[in-house]
Amino acid sequence: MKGNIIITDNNCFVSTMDDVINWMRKSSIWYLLFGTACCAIELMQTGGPRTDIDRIGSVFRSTPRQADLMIVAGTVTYKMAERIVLLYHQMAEPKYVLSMGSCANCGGLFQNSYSVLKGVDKVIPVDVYVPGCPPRPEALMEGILKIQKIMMKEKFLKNHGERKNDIKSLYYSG
Amino acid sequence: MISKVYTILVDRFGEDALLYFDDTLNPYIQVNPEQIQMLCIFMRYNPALKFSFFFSLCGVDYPEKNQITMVYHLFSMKQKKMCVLKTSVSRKNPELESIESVWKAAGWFERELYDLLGVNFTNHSNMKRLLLPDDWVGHPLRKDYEEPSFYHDMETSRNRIS
Repeated sequence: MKGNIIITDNNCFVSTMDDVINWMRKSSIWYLLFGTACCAIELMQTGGPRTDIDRIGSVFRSTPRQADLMIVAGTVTYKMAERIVLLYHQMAEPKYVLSMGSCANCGGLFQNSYSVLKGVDKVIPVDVYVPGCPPRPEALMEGILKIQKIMMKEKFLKNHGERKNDIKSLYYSG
Repeated sequence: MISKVYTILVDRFGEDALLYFDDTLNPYIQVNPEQIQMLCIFMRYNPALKFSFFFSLCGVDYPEKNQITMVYHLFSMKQKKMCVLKTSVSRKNPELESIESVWKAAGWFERELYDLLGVNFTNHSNMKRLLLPDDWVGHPLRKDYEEPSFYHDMETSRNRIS
C-alpha cells in the first residue's frame, strides 16, 4: 500500500478509509472457476508453482456469488455466451471482467465462424484485455495486476461499490 | 482389396445399384440412396465382409450438382481393411434412411449432419440438433448459408451496426 500513509508511532499509522478498503480488496481477488476453451489450461498453469497467483490472494471460487473477478478464458460461442451473461449477473458488485486470449477479445482465430461470438465485450463489459493465443501465465498475472491498479483508483466508500464500467452504464449511456 | 468387397456386393445387390471408383486415393463405392440400410446390414453381418466398426459419416455439399453426398467410412476388424461408401441425395429435400439400427454410433453422426447440413434421416430415434442451439435458423455448413446479423440480440460481426 502506497500513498496516503503517515506513520505516527511504531504501532499505528494514519491513512484514508478508501486506501485501506481497496488494499484489502486487491489482496483478495477471488476469480470465478470456469474456462470456455484451451486458455483455461493456461489459467490452471497460472495457479501453478511458477506463476503462483495464490500469492497475491487470488484463489478460485466455484460459485459466482463469491467471486469478484471473471476471467473469460477461451472461445465464446453463442450458446455459451448466454450462460456467461447469466454468470456475470449472478456475481456480486463490484465485479471485474478480464478477457483472456484472442478468442475472448475479438473472436480470434474463429472470428469467421458461424457459431462464435466476436469478442466477449459484445455481451458484458470488459476491464482488462490480455492478448495472446494463449497468453503466457506471466501475461495473465500482468492482467490481474492491472485489475489491482483499477481497484486502487476507486473511491469505494463514495460510490458504495458501484462502478462506472457497470452493465447499466453500458446499456443506458446511449 | 476393396474390389473384392465390390464383387461380393455386386453378387448380392446387382450391378446397376453399385458403382466402383478407384481413381482416387481411397477407392470408394457409389451406392443407391434407397439401398443404404440393406447394404450396411449386409456389410456388417456377412461372414466374408464383417465390417463391424463404423469409422465416420460426413456430408459434402455440392450446390452446382444440386446434391449432398454422404461419405461412410467402414472398417473390418476381420479383414483389417477400410471401405468407403458414398451416396448422394437431392439438395432440396434431402432424406435418407438412418443406419442407427446397424451401428448405434452412427446416430450421433446423423444428428450432426442434420444439424449442419439439414439432411433428414428417417427412422432415427432422436432427430434433433446436436451441437447448435435448438432455435438456430438454417444449416451453416451449406455453401449458400448466410449468417444473420443478430442472434438473440448479440451482434454476429465485429463491425458496429448503426
